[in-house]
Amino acid sequence: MRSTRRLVCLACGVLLGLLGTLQPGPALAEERPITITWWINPWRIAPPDLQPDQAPTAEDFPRWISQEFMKRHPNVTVRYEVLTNQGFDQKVAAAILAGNPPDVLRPINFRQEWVRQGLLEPIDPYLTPFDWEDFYDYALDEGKVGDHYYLFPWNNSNNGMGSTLLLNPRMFAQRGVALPPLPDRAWTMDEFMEAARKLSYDTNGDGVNDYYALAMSARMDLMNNLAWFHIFGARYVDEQQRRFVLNSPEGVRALTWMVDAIHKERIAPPGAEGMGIYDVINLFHQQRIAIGYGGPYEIGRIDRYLKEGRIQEKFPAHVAQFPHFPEIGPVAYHTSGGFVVFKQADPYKREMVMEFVRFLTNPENMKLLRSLLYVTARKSVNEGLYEGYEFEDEIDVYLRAIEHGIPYFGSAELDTTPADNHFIAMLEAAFSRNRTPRQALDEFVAQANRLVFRGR
Amino acid sequence: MPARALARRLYQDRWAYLFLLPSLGFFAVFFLVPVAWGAVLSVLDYRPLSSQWVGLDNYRYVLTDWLFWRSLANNLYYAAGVVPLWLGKALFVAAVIFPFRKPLQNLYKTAFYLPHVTSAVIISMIWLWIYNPPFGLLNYLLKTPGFAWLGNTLTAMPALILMQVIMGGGSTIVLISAAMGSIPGDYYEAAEIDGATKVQQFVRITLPLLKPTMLYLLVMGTISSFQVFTNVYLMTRGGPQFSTITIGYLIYETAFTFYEFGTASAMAMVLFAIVFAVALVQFRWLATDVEY
Repeated sequence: MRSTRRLVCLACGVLLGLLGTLQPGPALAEERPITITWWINPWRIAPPDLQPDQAPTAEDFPRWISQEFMKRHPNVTVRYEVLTNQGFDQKVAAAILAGNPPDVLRPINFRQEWVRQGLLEPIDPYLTPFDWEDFYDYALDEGKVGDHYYLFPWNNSNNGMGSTLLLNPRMFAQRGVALPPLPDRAWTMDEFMEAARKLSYDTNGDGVNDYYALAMSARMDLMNNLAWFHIFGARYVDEQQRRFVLNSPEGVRALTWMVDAIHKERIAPPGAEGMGIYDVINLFHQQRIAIGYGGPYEIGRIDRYLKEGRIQEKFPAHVAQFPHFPEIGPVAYHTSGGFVVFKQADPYKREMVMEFVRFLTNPENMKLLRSLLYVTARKSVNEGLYEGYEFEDEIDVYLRAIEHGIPYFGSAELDTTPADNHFIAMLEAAFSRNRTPRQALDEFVAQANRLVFRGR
Repeated sequence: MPARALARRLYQDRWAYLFLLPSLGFFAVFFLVPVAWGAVLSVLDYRPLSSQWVGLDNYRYVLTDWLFWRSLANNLYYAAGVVPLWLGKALFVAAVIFPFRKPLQNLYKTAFYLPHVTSAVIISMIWLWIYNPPFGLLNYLLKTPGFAWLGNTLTAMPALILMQVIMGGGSTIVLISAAMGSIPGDYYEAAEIDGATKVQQFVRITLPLLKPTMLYLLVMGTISSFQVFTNVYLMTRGGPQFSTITIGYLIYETAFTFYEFGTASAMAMVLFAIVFAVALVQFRWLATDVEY
């Protein structure tokens, strides 16, 4: 009796399965009402319907693009939410923990942990042959875990942090220092140091410099600090991605140079152990340092801050490469950002969510990143995007710089986040001269290896 | 008590229980359930889509982790610095303003209470500027340009304590003032007749009779010091070199940065046990049966 019932159940199952295969595919034609939730941090992109004299707010772009998508798909409601940068990752973590993440997220940091926990949809089935060809490989690789891709690439780089420098030409001219020449604005370390010494000076004769060439900061500035290490030929992790190797002789040389820049050369202000990246950006905006960190996007920030009254005076800024040693060659940080799709139980909704992300990242809409002076993750969009534009030279220098780009944090498969706090502690110890560069680096490497490679 | 007598007692007090029910409900939903859920999470390797029983592994890890012990030591340092100074300041201010007439007294109480209702975020931002190395107010006044108060292992924690002591204590002043107001005036009259000075009256009458209030404030102050988070998160992120990392911040980082929810819950349970024990000890040692 029981076996007969099993047989009937099995037959029904097979029949239903067959019927399933006969139904039309994931049915974009279903057109039943669905709601897509989309979270993004503030991106002040100017949408096409914005008045030219209006400064875009963080809401303008998500509002416009959601409406455009809904016009094309009337059965879809897109609910966007602009999250603040402060606490962004924590809000996402809380939503994941509560079992209620958004459908689409533009993460500040792509977390492979999400893939390992089975939270994300792979995007490779939704990439067209054109997409595969058009997206930069490193942009796609940013979201590669195992054999699949999980991040729809959108923007290229992260404000240029760790990739390029910003120069204040007015301060250079005042001190009679020539800017590194176009088209690369590249300079050797010797040329850079010669300029930096001239750009750091005391105005009131008290023996303390009032103006500096650049600034260092220990906190929230991983990429720029790692840039200095890479310039000296040091690497964060070894080629096999099995251990941290920042305490190599090159690493010690780099950190010694950074400490000396503050305490010996005095080309950077003291107090770096208590400063963060925004302190450095503020010093640049106040024209107390002649060299800041960032790419073309930071030039746009100067304009925005001026409109918001956060800075008093507009000043020009040029993008330049980080200095390099001829025997090592230039380096820059390669990275990319984009959108992830959280797991979808409903196949139709999955299709529509993917459709929405494809809409966000299509070449036409990606061009809107121009209003932020951002370089995009598509080769076809970048060609000619800034042609004849006011900042064409700056974009060109930036593109030339990132040709030397490498992933500073090792392979995309490696999550070095647990080491971050120890990296900061190492810089704090060295900048405050609590530890020698060698001691600080050895301690960091020991802790980082324990946390990342040995786990518990 | 026999079951029948207990039932009768419960029936007699039924209205009291009914009125207590809403508070009990809130207490259960927002305190008991999270604590119980935290206890459950602490024995799991908790993942959003799956979780695995790991027994006491999380506790074993927490109790052998140097960073946890470091954060505990920092918490003790912070509490030992903040609580006595906080209480001392509140007692001093309350004693100074208490003889004033009501309107003036209220004015001072309001002034001291204001920072209490100001967002901790705003206060932290202001103090970040005060402590800023290149253009901070403190360095400007002390003529020590470039000194990183929050970047030096010796000064970072005292800087946080100083900020908390200066900005905090508003509600404490109000409570102490209220307690002072409830001390019968006869005691002071008798003392004056006996020739006691104002200082003697304060030391011999006010202070002993404030003991229950001070005990309450001491326990609550200690608990809130162990939960310190916002200042650390906004001002130091636990640095420099982990010298200001506190358990509250470590729990937050472990859970929301590293997604180690089980470990974070184990830390929270250990913190709960510590605070509970400290409160018990304080009640036992300092409890008094003062009545007036």
